[in-house]
Amino acid sequence: MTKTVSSETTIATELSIEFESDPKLVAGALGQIIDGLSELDMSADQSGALELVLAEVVNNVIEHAYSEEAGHPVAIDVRGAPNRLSCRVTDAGKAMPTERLPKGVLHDLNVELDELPEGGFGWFLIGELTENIRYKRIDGKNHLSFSMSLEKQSF
Amino acid sequence: MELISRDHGAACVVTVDGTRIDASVAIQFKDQMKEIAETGQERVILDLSNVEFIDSSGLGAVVATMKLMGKDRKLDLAGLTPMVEKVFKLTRMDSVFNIFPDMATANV
Repeated sequence: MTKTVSSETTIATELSIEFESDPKLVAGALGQIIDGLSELDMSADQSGALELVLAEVVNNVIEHAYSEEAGHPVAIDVRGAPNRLSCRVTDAGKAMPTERLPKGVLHDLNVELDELPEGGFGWFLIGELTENIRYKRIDGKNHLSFSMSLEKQSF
Repeated sequence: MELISRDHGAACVVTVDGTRIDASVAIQFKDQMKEIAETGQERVILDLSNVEFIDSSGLGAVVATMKLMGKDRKLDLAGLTPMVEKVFKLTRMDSVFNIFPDMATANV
């Protein structure tokens, strides 16, 4: 007697894009990623969260790794399985000051008006919306990888 | 992205003609808001109903505008789309601003 095994089909979407370190090119690049993942049927919340996290990571790359110099390569790789997105952002700029990622801490907002923070939200948002975040410096390149669950409402 | 402002009684209503307040326009946004804030209306209401995406630099530019308006004047926000609302909630900046669902409830 033959046993019938129902094999679970895994649909994986893989996407790789590369663009130059110019703030004006970021929105288009992120739009390409979101469009390319349309078959994953992400909710508006999930695609909003992905777009925000990628924007924060890429803005950091342009501002810090490339010191706001245009014309350098930024690469984004996304692998989407039904329940999970794995992303990697790669650049050839300066290394992060420490191997440890900046800890995103929310400032105390119970302060005088002129002491309210105008920045520093980026790493906090990245930390809130991602899992398994890792930074590696390999062969003169920065690799930042993270994953996002597509199961729970993460955003 | 452009900002369109019009006076409405004692308030100035600013509409964002654009769908994103991100790193590529944050400085432009801040400069234009500064110009509008300098006209001296006591209350400025920023209508964000066209804005589908904001990042941390856009958020910083909104906070900067409120700071330069000082203690005696107010920057209120109206019409936050779901994505923008979530960024304000996650960073708890929703506790710093008066946020109205739309322009009608902002009592203009």
